Order: sequence, then structure tokens, then C-alpha cells
Amino acid sequence: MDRQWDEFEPACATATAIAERASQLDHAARPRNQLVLEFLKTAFLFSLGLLIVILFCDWRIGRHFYHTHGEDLIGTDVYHGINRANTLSPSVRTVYLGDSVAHQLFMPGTEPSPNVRFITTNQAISMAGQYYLLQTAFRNDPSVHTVYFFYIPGCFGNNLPPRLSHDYFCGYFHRLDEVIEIFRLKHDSQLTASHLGRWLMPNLMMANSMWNRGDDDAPDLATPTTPIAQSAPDPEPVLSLLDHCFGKIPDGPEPPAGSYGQSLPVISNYFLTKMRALCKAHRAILHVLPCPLSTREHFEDAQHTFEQAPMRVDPELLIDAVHFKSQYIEEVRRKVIAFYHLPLNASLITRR
Amino acid sequence: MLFNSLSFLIFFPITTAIYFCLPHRARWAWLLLCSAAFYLAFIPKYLLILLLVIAIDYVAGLVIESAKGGWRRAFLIISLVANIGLLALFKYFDFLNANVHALSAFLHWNYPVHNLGWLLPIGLSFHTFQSMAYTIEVFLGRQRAERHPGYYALYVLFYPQLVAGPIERPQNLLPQFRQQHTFHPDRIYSGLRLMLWGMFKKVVIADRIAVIVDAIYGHPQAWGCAWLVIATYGFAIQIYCDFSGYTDIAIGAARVLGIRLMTNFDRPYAARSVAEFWRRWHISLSTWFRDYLYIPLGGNRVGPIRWAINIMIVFVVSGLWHGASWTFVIWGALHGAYILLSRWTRTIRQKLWDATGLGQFQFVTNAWQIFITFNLVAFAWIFFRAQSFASAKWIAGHLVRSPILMHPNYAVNALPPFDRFDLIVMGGIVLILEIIQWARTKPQLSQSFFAQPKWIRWPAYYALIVTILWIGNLGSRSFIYFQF
Repeated sequence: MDRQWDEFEPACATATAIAERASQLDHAARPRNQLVLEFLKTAFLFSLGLLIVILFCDWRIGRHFYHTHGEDLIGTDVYHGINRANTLSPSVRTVYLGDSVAHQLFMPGTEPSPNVRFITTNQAISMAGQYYLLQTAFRNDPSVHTVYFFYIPGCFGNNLPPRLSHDYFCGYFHRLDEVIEIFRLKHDSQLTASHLGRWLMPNLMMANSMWNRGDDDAPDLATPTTPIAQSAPDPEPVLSLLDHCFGKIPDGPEPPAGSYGQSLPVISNYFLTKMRALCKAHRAILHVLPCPLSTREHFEDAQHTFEQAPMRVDPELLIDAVHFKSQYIEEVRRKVIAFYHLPLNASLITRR
Repeated sequence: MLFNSLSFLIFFPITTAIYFCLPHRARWAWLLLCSAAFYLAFIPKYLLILLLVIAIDYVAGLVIESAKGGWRRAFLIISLVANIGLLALFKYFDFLNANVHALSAFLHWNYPVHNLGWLLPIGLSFHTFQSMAYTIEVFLGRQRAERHPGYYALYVLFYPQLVAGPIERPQNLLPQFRQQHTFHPDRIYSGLRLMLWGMFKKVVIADRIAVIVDAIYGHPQAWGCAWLVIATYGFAIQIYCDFSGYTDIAIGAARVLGIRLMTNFDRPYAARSVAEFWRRWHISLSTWFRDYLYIPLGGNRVGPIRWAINIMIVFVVSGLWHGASWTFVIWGALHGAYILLSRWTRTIRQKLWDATGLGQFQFVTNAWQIFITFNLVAFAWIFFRAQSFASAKWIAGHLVRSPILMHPNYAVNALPPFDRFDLIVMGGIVLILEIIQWARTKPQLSQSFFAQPKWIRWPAYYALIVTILWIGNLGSRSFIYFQF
């Protein structure tokens, strides 16, 4: 019966008026409850159909991505990291986690021996993502007894801001328990909406991000040159109401570059504590180590989060503020292994 | 609260459901409350300014109606001065001040007044004009003064059209608040369809084109003329889809509630002259200027020179209404100049058509006129969109002069909207938009579509929704006209 009204006002004003009148007469003959029931029935069927269509499109896009895109997808390193964590073999005893600099040095798939596993990714997944990765690794192989976690100090400033988190974190960590945990912690309704969207239709949302990458006008999204600014609180009343109801923890001031400020932001603090507890529960030793830093970079470890001071490197070796030029990676890796006394044989780490 | 935000997606169904559950006598209060909440989402303290405008014009309406003789005009002038004064204070003070500063510096005078630096309340130009329409109509005796302060407040605050119109007339809107709107599924479906279509135009077309336009207009010197032309045409499409998308959502949302808002767009780029363009573009504003400025100035019932002056006054004021900047003034003046030139060259152009013999082919004449009008309008948009007069001048001067395909490497290599495939897809979507827009003008076509069974119609709606989710820019970009 929804054909009587049409929105094409300029040309169809008369037709609309006639149809509207006819429809009103038709509806006037029926009781209101019947109309409401009819509307609810139509709305339900439409929504159900929409859900099926969305799920089908999502599945189809997922198939397409699987067969064609590969490395072009946003956050492929996160995808590989999760896969590596999911396929831990019983022989693995040591796990390396970390951000994109750690990813350069200890790239998944280049492990020197079967009892070491690299599940390094990037900082855009925040400490929450790092924790979930480690949790996955332990779930698949509880016999891991040492965890090395390499992180640029400034990356602790990542408190899941909207710009990176929707693609990198929500895009890959959207199990329902993860969605709920992050909401309980941050009460960031936009983040939760993105999270739920990724949970319901991960491939469709990934496709959307691929289409709209230009809107970020920054090609190297995962480059953690400076800590990421906190997201502004959502000023919209409906969503902010949720924040008020749940008593959102206020975000701290933006930390200076090269440090995470006087105290860790909520997400980093919560998940680092959980990571320590997780390791303790599995009787594993957690080493939190800073990635090598340029000699120009400021370093501040106000709460002694790291086990030791960072190795300093010549800025000439870097392609940006933190990442290494490809020709120096092997050399830096050898120095890092020696500097931090890592139980790795650098010469056995394979090229990829 | 933006129409394309998650908040609105939650806000709208909840408030609408409650609206229909309430008895008729309480609905105005509920709508008023919702409208206030909607406006509070932007900058809460500016609701006080809106309330001031409402209070001034509510009282002005009553006193104008009850006054006699010269007092009526006096009260109208007081009301208009108050409204325009508020607008001037927030919108034009800094612009005028900066110009006086520049003039003083040129003349070596000491001018110590500083800019206010106040943020313009969202949609101030829209609701001030709507409020002024009410007092003028009361003064002209075409509208009775509204006694009920709630209904009057709702006339100004009604949330679907609060921040960017359509600028309603009291005769259309006020009586509708008193009518009892029954729950009417067909009307709700129709409103929701229109909202979906508006959302598609905004999120899929306008916001995606915006990425290209922003990149090029942000640094026009870095781009070749082909890109400048693409961005200029792109902006013409962007602003149409942005503003008409907003209007569709506004009209659709109001329709769901049972309120019929006036039409604001009628395929403006199908206009065959600039004058016709203004009968199709932002109709609620152009008719406002026609009724309350152009006709009182004498309209076209005056001599040719006075008529030309009237036209220029209307279009320069229209430009200033959009923004306090010389680029908007030039944009308005350009449109005025187009109309004057069009009138003055009408005979010569007709002779040319007759001499070539092409005048007898209606299709050729129409296509040529539409093409020329679109290009004239798109050229004027350069001044509307450019960040400064210098930037606009540079773009206008280099549309055919700079190296054709010059572009900064970072953009074309890194940004997907500049990818050839993406540009082709966008072109395809714009073509589909045009076809649908054309189909919308054909009652038989649209009626035959709505006569189809659900299994044919629903997939079309699903396709729109999936396209929004797939390629739409879901980052809640603001609407262009919100800044006015």
C-alpha cells in the first residue's frame, strides 16, 4: 500500500495530493491499531530482508578480498599477526609482540627457529589489540614461557582515537566480548558503533574504509611519529547521554612526543596491567622493551614501564621519525638483539 | 546533530515513535522539546540567541497586528532591525570591521576596534529569515499573529528545517502544527524513502566528491587545469547533492511527522537560463528575496536602469546572506550580471539562432542552453567555494592556462578518490543520479515503479542502503549550508 505517497513533489504534486486523499480515505476505514500492526509487520520484514542482503554482501565481499586483494587491505599486518597467533604450534616457547618498528625487525614469518613466534603488528591497534593478540597466542599454546613486547614509548599515548582505531582496531578485533570490554572501558559511542559495524559486517566496512582512505589525507596511517591525540568527546546529546550514564573516565592531557606523559592513558594502562596479569597466570615472563629511538627523540619513562632505556640510533638510518630504511634493518636487528640480550640468532632470521 | 550521524539514527525513530504515542494536544510540546535537543547538540549556549529571535518576533507579531497606522510600520522596522542586527553582529561585524581596518590602514587612520571573533550560530541566517518572513506577513495582513508562544517557537525551531531550511512561510507551516496528524503508514514510507534518497546523495555522492574538491581547492596552485575543471564541476555536483540531500532528509523527516515542507529544489542544473536556475535552486530563499526584497524594490515594474539596480541589489544581498566575504559578494554579483546580460543580449541571441537555422530544433536549443547555463553557474561556484579571493582568482585564471594534468604526486598515487577506477565509478553514480532525477519529473514513471510489488521495489532500496554502507563516506561530514 506504500505506493500512494511519492516524494516527487515538483512534477507530481497533483498526483500526490489525489493519492494521499485516496490513501487517507482507505486508512480512515481501518482502526489505528491495525495500521500500526501492518506498519510494524512491514518494517520487520524489510529489516529482515535488509539484514540478509547485508550479510550476503559482506560474505561476497569477504570472498572477493580473500581471492584478490591480499596485501592491499588496510591493516594486513594485523591480519597476519592474528593468523600467526591463531596457528601457534606446541613447540613455540617465545613470542615477540610489538608495533610497526618491531614489525620491521621481527616480521611474522621470518622466525629463526620453531620455538620462536613473531606476532608483531602496528601501534594503531593500541595496547588493547596487543593484549588480544597475546591472549589468542596463549589460548592456542599455553606453553609459551617468554613474551617480548617492543613498543615505541609514544605509542602508549594511543587511547583508541577514531582516526586509526576504526580501521585497525575495530576492523580486526570485534568479537562481542571485545566490543563489550572496550565499551565498558571507554564509553566512546562512535567507537562502539564502529565496533558493532565491524562485528556485523566486517568485510563491508573494510570495503568502505578502502573506498574512503583518501579522506584521511595521510598516506602512512600507521606511522607512529607522534602519540595520537585523544579523540574529542562526542558532543551529540543522545550518544553523550550514554557516556554520562556510565560515567566515562576522562581522557588525560595529550602526552608530549616521544613519551606517554606522566601516566598511561586509560586503554594502555588497563591492557598493560591485564597483559602482565595474563603472563603471570600462564607463568610466562613479560619483557616490556622500548623500540630503538633516534638520538634526536625525546624519551621519558615516568612510571618505569620499560625494563630498560632504549637503544639509540643515528637519525640517518631512519626513513621517518621511527622506521628504518630497508638497507639498515638487518644491521639494526643485530644491534637490537645484542643490546637487549635477546635469545635470537640474527643470522637465522630469514628475509621475506 | 547531523542528519548523517549515528545520533540522528537513534534520535529520529525514538522521538517519532513517542510523537505518535502522544495525544495531539501534547505533540507540539514534544516536537519543541526534540527541536531544542536537536539544536543543543551543536553549541548549547546559542539556543539563547534563537530564543531571543523567537521572543522578539513573537511579541512583534502581536503588536504589529494590534497597532494602527504608522505604528505598524514602526514595530515592523524595530523587529527587522533587531533580527538583522543580531545577524549583523554575529555574521557581518568582523567582515565589516576587517574592511574598515584595511581602509584605515590605507588612509593612515587609527582604528582601534578589534574583531569579535564570535562563532556564527548554526543556521542563524535561516531561522532569522524565517522569523522575519512571519513579521512581514503579519504586517502585510496575509497572516494572523500567532497567539500561542509554543506554536510560534515551534515554527522557528521545528528541527527538520531548523538549521538549513527550507525557509518556510507562516501560512504553510503554522496551521500544520494545529492539525491532527494520524498515523499513516504510506506517508511514513514515503518520508523514509525520501530520507534514504537524501542520505544517498549526501553520503555517497557529495561527501566522496568533497575529498577531491577539498584537495584541489585547498592547494589549487599544485594542480593542472584539467583537475581544476574536474574540481569545479565536482563542486557543482557536490553542493547540489549536499544541499538537496539535506533538504530531502528534512522534507522526509517532516513528512513522517505529518508536516509538509515546501519544495526547495527542482533539477536546477536542467535550467536553460540563470533566471530559471534561480527558480529551481534553493527555491525557499529565492522566493524569499523575490517576495520581501525584489518586489518591494519595484521588481520589474520600473525602468530598465532601476530594474538592473534592483537585480544587482538582490543578488549581492543574496551573496552576502551566504557568507560575510567578498567571494560571496562576487558570487552573487556574477549571478546578477548573468541575468542582466541574458536580458540585454536576448534579441541578438535569438537572431543568431534564427540565422543558423538551429532554432527550429528544440532539442539542440535546449541542450545548448542547459550546457551554457550549467557552465556559467559552475564558474560562479568557484568564488563560492574558494578559500579566498586570491585563490578564486587564481583558479578562474588558470582553468585553461596551467599544464593540463599537473598534480602533486602524493594525491594521485595515494588517495583512492583520484584513482581512475574510482573516478569512473563516481561518474557512473552521478549519471544514475541524473537519470533518477529525470525519472522523478515523470509522474507515470514514478507511479509505475511504486505500483510494482515489494519484491521489485525493496531490492532497489536495499541497493541504495548497501551502496551507502559500501562506498559512502560514513565520517559524518557536516553539510555545506550549515555554515550559513
